[in-house]
Amino acid sequence: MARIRLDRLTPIVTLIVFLFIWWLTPSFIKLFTQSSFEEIQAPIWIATNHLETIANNTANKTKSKQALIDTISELKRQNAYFKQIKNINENYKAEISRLESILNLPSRDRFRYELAHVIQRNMGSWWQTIRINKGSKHGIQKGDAVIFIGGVVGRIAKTNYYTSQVDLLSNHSFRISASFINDYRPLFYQGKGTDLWGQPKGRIKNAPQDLTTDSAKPLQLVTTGLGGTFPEGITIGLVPWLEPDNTGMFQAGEVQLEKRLLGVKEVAVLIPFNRIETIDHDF
Amino acid sequence: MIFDKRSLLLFISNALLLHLMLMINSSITFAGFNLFVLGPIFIIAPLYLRADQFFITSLLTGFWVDAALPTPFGLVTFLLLTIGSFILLIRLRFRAEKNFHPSLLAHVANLIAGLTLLYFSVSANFADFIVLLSTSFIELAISHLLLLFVAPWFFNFQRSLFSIFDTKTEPESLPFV
Repeated sequence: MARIRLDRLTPIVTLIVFLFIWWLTPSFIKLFTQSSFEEIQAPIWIATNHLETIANNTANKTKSKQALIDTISELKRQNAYFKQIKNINENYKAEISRLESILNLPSRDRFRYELAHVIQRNMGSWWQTIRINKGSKHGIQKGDAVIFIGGVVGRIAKTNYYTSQVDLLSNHSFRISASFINDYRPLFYQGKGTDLWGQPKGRIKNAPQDLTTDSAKPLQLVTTGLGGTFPEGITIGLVPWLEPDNTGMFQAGEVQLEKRLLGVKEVAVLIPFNRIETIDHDF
Repeated sequence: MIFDKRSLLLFISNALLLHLMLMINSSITFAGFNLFVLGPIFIIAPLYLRADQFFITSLLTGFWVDAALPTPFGLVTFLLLTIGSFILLIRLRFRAEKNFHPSLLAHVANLIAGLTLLYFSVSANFADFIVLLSTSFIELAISHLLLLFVAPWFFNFQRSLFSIFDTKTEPESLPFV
């Protein structure tokens, strides 16, 4: 009978010992290790983002003067238009503040908008997350809402000092209370990942029976404001069809999410004012 | 224990491969899928290094990858150590100085890691199992096609680093005598 060389089993013994130690290690040490590695990686991602910006700027320098002049003219037109809208909004805000002070109502401004760049995207069948270049240093905390020009982006899943990870609207773990536009009955939205063609999808449950929709004129799904994380009326997506769910009492359907979600570059994190006040008191 | 410079070189090259993969994934979001080509990071450390140095390299690489990917922390470290230990046990059977065996091992390691990540995705979402399985199959198929080119390049790159930094370019414990 051949003798077993025990020294050859050293890697297996080491592995078993390591796994045993890892199993016994308190979770705060694991969290500390994870955070340390994430913090070390953060500057690398920010530097990569800067390099990408420089590369884009260099590519823009190759454009002709006429193209740049046309772009500037277009931007000037848009600038003038948005300045007018800004003035109108300021008038509305002043009016709202005046009415609130007359009626002794609490302020409707519940959030501060923290703008952030997307520095990394993970959008496959296993993960739907993005990483942004703002973190706990900027007052962002886990659970904060993230939006962009096309509507809801997702929710902060994890924060580091300089960066944060966002679970996208299409992520399976993303759930939110929603309603159809101009219909205030709440229903349940959950992310569904991507379909076979790589398009982000979601699903809704508990939609009322009397609602009808079709692919030519799909119903728009918006946030309800329930739960307090997202303000009311922010676009989630479009619902092109509804069918009776397994209970027979409600309807369920698939939600087509904004295509721009896949290539999102700029987002805004909604940071509640109340929490900021609490932080200020703490320090 | 004398520190082997190759551990550091392997860790840096593994981190580079991860960063390149994530950068590409970040740029191809219009396609709606992720490439997963981390198989090669499992291979050279157990084939070339002593057991203790392999352990240090795998631990560092694993923590680095776990921090970068949205996986449960420790999962990739566990896979690196388990697959690596197995390769370490039977490494005398492989020709580490050529690309054929390491590339084959990289494909096997990539598939095991991919299926493990798929398992964790399925357990988080059982409702869309068929769609998830189909998209994962497409992703893994494309990733393995790409790996046919990436793995040999990566192994040559790691061996070049050994030469450039004047370290031992041959695997430990090969039966040359």
